[in-house]
Amino acid sequence: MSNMVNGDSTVDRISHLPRNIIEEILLHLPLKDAIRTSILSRDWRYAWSSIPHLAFSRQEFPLSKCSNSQVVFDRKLVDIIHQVLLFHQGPIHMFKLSIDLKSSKCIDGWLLFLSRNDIKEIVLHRWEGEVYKLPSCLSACKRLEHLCLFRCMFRPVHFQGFPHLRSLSLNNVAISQNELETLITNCPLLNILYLIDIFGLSGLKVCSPSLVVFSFFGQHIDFSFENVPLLSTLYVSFVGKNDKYYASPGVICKLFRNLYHLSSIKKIVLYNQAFKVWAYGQLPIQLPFTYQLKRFHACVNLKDIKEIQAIVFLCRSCPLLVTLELKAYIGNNLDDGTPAEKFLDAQQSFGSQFSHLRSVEITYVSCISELPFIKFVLANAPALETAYIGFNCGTPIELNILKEMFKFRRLSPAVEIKILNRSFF
Amino acid sequence: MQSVLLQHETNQSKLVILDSVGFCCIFLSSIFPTFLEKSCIPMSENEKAIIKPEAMKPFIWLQCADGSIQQVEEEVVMFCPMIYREILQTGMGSSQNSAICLPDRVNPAILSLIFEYCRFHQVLGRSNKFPGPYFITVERKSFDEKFIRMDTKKLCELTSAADSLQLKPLVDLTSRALARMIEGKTPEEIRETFHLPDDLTEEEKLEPLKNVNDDPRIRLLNRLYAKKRKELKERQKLKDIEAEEEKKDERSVDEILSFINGEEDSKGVNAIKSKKKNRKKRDSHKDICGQESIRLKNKKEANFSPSASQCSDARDNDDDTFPSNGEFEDGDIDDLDPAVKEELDREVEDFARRLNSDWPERMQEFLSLGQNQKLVPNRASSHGSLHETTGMDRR
Repeated sequence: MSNMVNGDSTVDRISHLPRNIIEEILLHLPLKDAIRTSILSRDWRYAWSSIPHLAFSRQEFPLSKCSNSQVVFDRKLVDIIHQVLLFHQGPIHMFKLSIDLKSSKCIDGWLLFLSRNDIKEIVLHRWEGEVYKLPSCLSACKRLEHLCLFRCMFRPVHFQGFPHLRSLSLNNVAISQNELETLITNCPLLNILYLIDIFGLSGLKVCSPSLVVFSFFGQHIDFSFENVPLLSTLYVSFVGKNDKYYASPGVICKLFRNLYHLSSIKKIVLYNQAFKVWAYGQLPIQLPFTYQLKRFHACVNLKDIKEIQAIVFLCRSCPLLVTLELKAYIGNNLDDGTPAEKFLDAQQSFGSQFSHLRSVEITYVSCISELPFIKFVLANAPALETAYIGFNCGTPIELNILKEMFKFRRLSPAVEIKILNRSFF
Repeated sequence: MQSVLLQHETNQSKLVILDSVGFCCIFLSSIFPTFLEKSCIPMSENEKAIIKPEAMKPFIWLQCADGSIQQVEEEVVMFCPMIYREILQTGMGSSQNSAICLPDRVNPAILSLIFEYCRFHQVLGRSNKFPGPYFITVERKSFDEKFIRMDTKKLCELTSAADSLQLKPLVDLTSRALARMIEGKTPEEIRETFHLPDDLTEEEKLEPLKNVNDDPRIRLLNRLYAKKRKELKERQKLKDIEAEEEKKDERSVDEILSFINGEEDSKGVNAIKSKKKNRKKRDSHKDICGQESIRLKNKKEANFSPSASQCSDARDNDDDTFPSNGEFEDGDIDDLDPAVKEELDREVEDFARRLNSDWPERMQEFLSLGQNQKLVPNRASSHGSLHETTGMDRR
């Protein structure tokens, strides 16, 4: 090749590095570049064939780059993946298929191949074409630890669960309630569960002794927890029409009914209408124990008496709360917030309950009648360090709102009020 | 440190002193045997006066494969799990005599680099893991980036040494750096950077995983190489016809008979062989097939002409399929701008010139390759290699 003066520096050193290092180098390369090393030299010819991670992603194999039709692209891509799998030697631990592949018949074969090769992580994103029905050989992947599906259909029959599964993410997946519950219960090591827009669920009972993080995004369904002693993080978001929410009178609201089972909960994030739905109902007289909740985030209607009551009740049961984040939204009913204000003013001797609160963030405030809650927090939090107040920038910030706010009594001497300027859009 | 010393003490009866100043004494006493007797008792009384705070820092002795011995601060050395374990298990390293032997792959220059790395991260973190607030991460990252700027020779040595010392974070860092040097480059550039030998034959290069090298440039090259191959084959046909008359006839009787018996036989064999090739084609990769036949084709041996003509039939079949393979590639050729096309034309010419000029050497290559081919199990077309070897045996 190039003639160097110093003979020592023309020695090929990289090809003689130990096997595991070459594998590591190839793992840091995108799959295409890794496979291209096969034409570098004799030593590199099959070096790539034992890398345990195969990831086919849209960035590397984009539909747009191929100037021909989808059919042709499909054919090429199937060919490539066939060849890669055929040439591959050794176990495959990670397989990611996130490409614009329309046909799905070949995927069955690939999954079968993977199930015989110690697969530990499968990521399957169907961007194009119809929803892909997962074959039964998926249940034969006994060593599976991570499963991430997008736009698939998972219908396990006589399924024993994955004994090593640690994280499960189902996005736009069709699965029935029974099957999902069985799946969750039969995975003894499951730590992380993300359910996003699942079709076919009418309710869900989550029962998993090892679950740590649970996230549910989608249409409202009535889900409940049973035996989740380790659950520490909860993300919930409900979207859609809100006419199915109303529980019969006298029933305790879902927020506290669920909270009852979440003894180790540390962080709760409720997006969109989740809090509204869950706060609907009766409040319990008192909760059996206090919680270790440290962080709470919700979209709350600050003028609605019910929601304010729920928040106050929650804060009272979670004395260790450190961060409180509320996004104000304007509800359908046009109450003026006076009942809420009266309620808050009536809350005496609350100081000891907010004792750990260090940061409060209330955003999208849009009118003066949403201020009583801010006033309440400022007046009752002795350890508060920062209070972020954000206004909905659709409306101009009115000077008198600010004036009012800065007049509020602050229990904590060091509190810093910061005004955020976040826009809705 | 204390426990290590005690162990050492039992091995050497002369050891009385129990701190790092004592090590200096032992070291000196090994060089100057009378030193210890002379200075033993006075030393133990004066040691407190002599001791400075820095001297109390424990040092570990390490010996490289070439024999040179270095001493490094203990806390820095503890960053390396392998050395740490060695110290705990064997108790060595506390003196020059019992210096810990490092693996072969570590030479002194690289060792100092490694300890530079360890020292920085140890000071910053006091642990082998990297937690810590954001600004510490930023500091680490900027140090790492500057640290990793070195030529490939050193980088490879560093990677190898770090691996033998099981220093995972450094192995990670260096592997990423090497990967960055490979990513996005053409094969020629990579070969130049790392001084890799270009020892794959043209054919082996020409059978990439089809379409993985989705570069339009490479696809065009493939297409043009295919065309060149075809031209060469035709040229070869003519050459063969001339060469036949010149060369000694070494064919076996059977072959001559079959050749003499003429069209029917060879046609029959033709048909069988091309059928075989067709079946093979359907099962295996088309590229490999094409290249087998081309290899057969390019043999100058006269007795190959029957098979050569058979191959030409098969090759024609191949050619028919080639366009179907490449039909959607043609469209891409038009997409290239003229500058790239020009460059490619030049490259192809170059390739053709090389193929034509060093013909005898190429022949040798093919023949020697043929022997090797049949051992490679990944080759789907075992039939092809059988053809080759049996053909050559007949010779």
